[in-house]
Amino acid sequence: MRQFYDLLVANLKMTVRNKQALFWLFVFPLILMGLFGIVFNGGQATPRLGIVDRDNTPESHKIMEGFEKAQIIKLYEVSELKDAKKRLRAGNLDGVVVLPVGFSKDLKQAIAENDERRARQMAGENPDSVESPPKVKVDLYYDPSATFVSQVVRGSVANVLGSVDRAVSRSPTLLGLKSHSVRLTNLRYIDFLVPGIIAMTLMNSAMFGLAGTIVNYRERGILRRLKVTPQPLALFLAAQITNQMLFSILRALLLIGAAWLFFDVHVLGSYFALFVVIIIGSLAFVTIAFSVASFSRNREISDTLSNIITMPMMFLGGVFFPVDTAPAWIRPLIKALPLTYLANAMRDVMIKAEPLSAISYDLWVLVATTVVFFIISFKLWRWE
Amino acid sequence: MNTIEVKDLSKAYVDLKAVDNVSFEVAQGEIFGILGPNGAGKTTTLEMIEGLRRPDSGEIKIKSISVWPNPGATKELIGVQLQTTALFDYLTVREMLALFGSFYRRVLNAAQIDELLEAVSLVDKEKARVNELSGGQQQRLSIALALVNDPEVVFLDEPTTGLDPQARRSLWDVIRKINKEGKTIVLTTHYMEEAEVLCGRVAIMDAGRIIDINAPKKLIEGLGAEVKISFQSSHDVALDDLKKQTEASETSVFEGQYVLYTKDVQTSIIGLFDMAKADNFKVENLHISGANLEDVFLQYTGKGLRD
Ligand SMILES: Nc1ncnc2c1ncn2[C@@H]1O[C@H](COP(=O)(O)OP(=O)(O)OP(=O)(O)O)[C@@H](O)[C@H]1O
Ligand SMILES: [Mg+2]
Repeated sequence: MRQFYDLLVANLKMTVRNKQALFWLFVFPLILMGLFGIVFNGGQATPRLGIVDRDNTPESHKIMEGFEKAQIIKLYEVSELKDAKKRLRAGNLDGVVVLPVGFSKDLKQAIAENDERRARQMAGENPDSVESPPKVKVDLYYDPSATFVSQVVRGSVANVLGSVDRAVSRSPTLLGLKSHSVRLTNLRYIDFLVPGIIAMTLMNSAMFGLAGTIVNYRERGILRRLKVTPQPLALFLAAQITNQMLFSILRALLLIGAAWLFFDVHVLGSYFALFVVIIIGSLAFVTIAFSVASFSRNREISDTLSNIITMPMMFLGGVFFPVDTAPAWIRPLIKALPLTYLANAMRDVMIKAEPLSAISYDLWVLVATTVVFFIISFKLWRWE
Repeated sequence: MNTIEVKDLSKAYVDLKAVDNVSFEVAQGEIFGILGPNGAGKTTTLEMIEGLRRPDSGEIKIKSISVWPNPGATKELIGVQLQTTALFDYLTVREMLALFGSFYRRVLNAAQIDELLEAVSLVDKEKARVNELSGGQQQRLSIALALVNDPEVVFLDEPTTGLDPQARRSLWDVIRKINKEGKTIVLTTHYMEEAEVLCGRVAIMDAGRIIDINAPKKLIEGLGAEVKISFQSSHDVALDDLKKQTEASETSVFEGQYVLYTKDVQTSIIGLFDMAKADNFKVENLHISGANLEDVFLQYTGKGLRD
């Protein structure tokens, strides 16, 4: 324990005294967050949604009311779909919802079928044999290239319709339409960005900081020098990893603090969950970094490799824009990137206030990544 | 019982026999030197004893404990300075000693760190960052690091390479001081002077083999105790004539430097000056010296210590 403590303290000292490392660890992420925050946060915070009510029945009016109550979006009633589309193309609207003719009829039918279905269920019939009710069709037009705003629009529309759905399946009345969304209420680009940046720096500090340090220690013979002492290498590496995690936590807090101060970003989830995500995410990237360090003969190779690994993750891992707006052909690649899961988990905790149980899938993927790369780095490890 | 016993040690890198069937013993309290040119296999030999490189065959014991296959067993007993200094940047000299001290079972307290700093004359540098030290100071710090566990055996791989003559001499004092405290020392060097001055016994190594092991004096006496006379001349001198007139056993010339070996200095000197007078050349830069390890090495291998 004394040995571990001494090693950790020495590591902390070395990190704090390394000005260049401090820049990359703390200053750079702050600058990045600040720049993106300023550039993309200006202008409309609330997306503008056009709504075309072609049905014009009491039911459709209630839907309209539901959107009005949602408050996340600014609502514009437009009488003609053509008009609405024009305004969407001109950039005056961020999305258009269309309630088609026959909407109320469809809805009534859906309610009736649903009631029947539930009656049959109650009579003890196998639910599998019961047909699900037909979906009531509502059209949404939006511009997918304006990724962030359209994300919000889609989210809020789905949300409002979701509450309609719930109302349909639970009770035949459509009153009480209300947005249940906490998350979307305040969601701005910067809220989206901060967890992404934290996830990204977690990756980068491991990939460039840790991998580089280990390769450097090997190139300079420090690992061999350690090998002639009775000190187990595992303890030395454990101190390195702990050092890495402490700085990751510190950096996350710093970024959160700065985001709160300058952009009024609030962490909605629990700090404990955040802590767990940081630890598990760190471990995943630490083991990837060790694999890179083990594989690389020298610093040039390790830096190149780290770049090759981090670049796609930075742009496809959901740091700067939501991954579900990416084209379908690239989705499998996105799904293969550990950062996707880390950024997702981080975001779910920070801005959606999800509990750990809700992100367990992401966390398990990260744990599996850790195990795989632990084995790889162990097999590839070299002293000189 | 010897402190170190090495028997039939061999190691090859691919098809290069870096160490070829080497055997030697080092006694308790001895300073044992391994002298040889670049690539002789000195570092490889040392690092196999330190437990860093696995031998292909052979046996190594430190205080009767076999180093291989379990080098962990001897790590507390030894202190090591590797050929390339390996120090953490951003730590101070004192922090570095404390950190390495924490790696061992023996607890290193502040007073003991002071003693170490004293021993390697780094007291006034204790707060300096490691990367701010000069080469010689880093070298001395590496030696201090090899002592943090108060080891029984200290391995120094070329401790004075790259140092100026003054720094080298001060390091010799450090090494002697450590040895006086009862530590057995094994060192490698390119410098025959260093081996002569420091080592009780020297192993002469070339191309992976140990050619001879003995006290430096004995090795030189083994040459036949000839005296070396060297000089420069204003004119060319015929080597055959020179050999005849000076009754030398051997004469040679290299870049205007004439060298002759003789058992009878007086006869040779008189012969040389008689010849100079008769042939009308001037003897300049005359040196008379006893043979040294360099000559021993030359004799054994037909080449110089530093090519
Ligand atoms: N890791 C290695 N892989 C391949 N060959 C090696 C390795 N280490 C040393 N050698 C070779 O083994 C031979 C002996 O090397 P070694 O380092 O033991 O020599 P040395 O006597 O210490 O030389 P120097 O005085 O230059 O330090 C050299 O020819 C060297 O090129
Ligand atoms: Mg060497």
